[in-house]
Amino acid sequence: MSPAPLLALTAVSRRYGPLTAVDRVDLAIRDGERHAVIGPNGAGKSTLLALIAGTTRPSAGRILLDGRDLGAAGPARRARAGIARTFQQPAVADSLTALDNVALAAWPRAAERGLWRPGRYRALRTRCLDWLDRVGAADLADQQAGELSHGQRRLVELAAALAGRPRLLLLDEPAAGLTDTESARLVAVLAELPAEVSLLLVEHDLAFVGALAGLVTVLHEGRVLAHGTPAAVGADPAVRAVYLGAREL
Amino acid sequence: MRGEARTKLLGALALTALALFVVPAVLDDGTLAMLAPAAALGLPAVGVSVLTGRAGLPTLGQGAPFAVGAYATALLARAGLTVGPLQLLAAALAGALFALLTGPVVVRARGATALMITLALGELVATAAGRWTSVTGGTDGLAGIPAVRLWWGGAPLTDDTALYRYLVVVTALALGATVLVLGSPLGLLLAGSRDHEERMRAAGHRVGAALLAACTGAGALAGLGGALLVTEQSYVSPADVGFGTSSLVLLAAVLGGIGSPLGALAGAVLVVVVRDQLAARWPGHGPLLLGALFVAAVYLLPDGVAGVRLRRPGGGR
Repeated sequence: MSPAPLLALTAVSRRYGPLTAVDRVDLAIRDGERHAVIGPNGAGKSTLLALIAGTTRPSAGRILLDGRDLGAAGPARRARAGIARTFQQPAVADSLTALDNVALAAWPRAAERGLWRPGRYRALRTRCLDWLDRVGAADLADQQAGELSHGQRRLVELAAALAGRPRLLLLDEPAAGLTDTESARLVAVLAELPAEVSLLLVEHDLAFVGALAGLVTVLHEGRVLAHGTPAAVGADPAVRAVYLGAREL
Repeated sequence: MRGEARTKLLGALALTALALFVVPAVLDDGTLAMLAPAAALGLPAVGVSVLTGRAGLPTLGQGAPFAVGAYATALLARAGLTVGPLQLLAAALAGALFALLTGPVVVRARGATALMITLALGELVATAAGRWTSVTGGTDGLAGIPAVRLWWGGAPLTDDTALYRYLVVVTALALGATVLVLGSPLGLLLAGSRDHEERMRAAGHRVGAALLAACTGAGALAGLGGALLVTEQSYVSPADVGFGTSSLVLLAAVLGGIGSPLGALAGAVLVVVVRDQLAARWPGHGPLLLGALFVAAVYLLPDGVAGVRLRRPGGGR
């Protein structure tokens, strides 16, 4: 018997009227796993991520974190339970500096939280420089996030997500809109993630997935089409049929 | 960081000292008395600058907690409680409590919907003030309110200069408290929620609770403003707390460069000067002048009167 997975989805569905965006999906993520969900446009990848993050409720099925049903918990509760995420459009607070973005994201799960402690916040802020440094954006610390480029915002957002010390990190198409250099840098940063952080990645860019993920789930029309190592999934004829003409895994 | 805070503190002290000692020496008593309404209008405007500028919740209903604070003060004073700090505490608590109770309805909405809900709340309270004759005196208002005392056993403040200084001290303390809160992590969270609410939730922040806290704080500021109104004019009626007041408060905050508490206060001074001084020279044209002021401010000073000087270079939005 293996221990219970960190995250488990059992027969999770999400229907929008007659459309079933996610159809009875089973998925398990173990501690430290690097897992990618791929699939063509409209396969239900982003809906799946929203279901796990708590911004969308499942129409059926259960989502368990550490064996406990997340039920109706909203995104903030799930974040405090250890699920962090990034958005398709890098989400930062434009009027705050890059460093404040990171420190504010670290605050809810930091040991020193409590909104009335400016001194403690300053200490946390100083430590958060380290997270910016890890993503290679330490030089942006005092810049307003609104003035950063798309790629820089992505890095700051990632630093913010990591600073919350998540157990599970959800990345929604992190490579979208990045230059090749930026994308390579992102892969390097993610490869350096602490082993205990699990990663669930929704991505289009198959090269990016191949460089990071140990396990791949292929979604097609809301259903799990294939599941396995990148090599095994890449050799699957059904997957090849869906990705006809697409790049090799 | 610390050096910047010290500069700010010194600047605030210098400004307060200027308002306390230099202004009364330069202006005569009559002019001082005409400046006094700016304090009553200024504090709710500071609240609007926090709610709308910082937290991104538009409001047209600050007349409501303002009314609650004003009537609480008037009733206390008529019952013989004329000690200033006590009146202020009661008015701030009453305004905060009102905002805390009505806030959950407001913070569920955003944008124009929030604006309409606050407008409705403001009108409800103004109507209640006009109808609940046994408590509020109805449309006649509450008159004959005794002058405020600084402390137990102190002499009543009847002299214009002394009254003016009382208003300045209360306003400066309330403004200082506001700036402190805005500089805390809560202030950052409010800005973050305005910029990207979903991001703040995804980090685990209780955005609704933070917005409710901002509402409550703005309610306390408006309540304090209500207390100062009663202190300054010894009278309160529903006409002092209706939609007209709410919109003047919003105008002051906009003139101040929405989001700047000190600017909102400066905006209130400007509004009062235009309304009471310039309009006195062209009787009946007060609203026209205020409208022109508003249009001019929006076009000429998009960052408000405070934006001309107080924004850090390159700070932007």
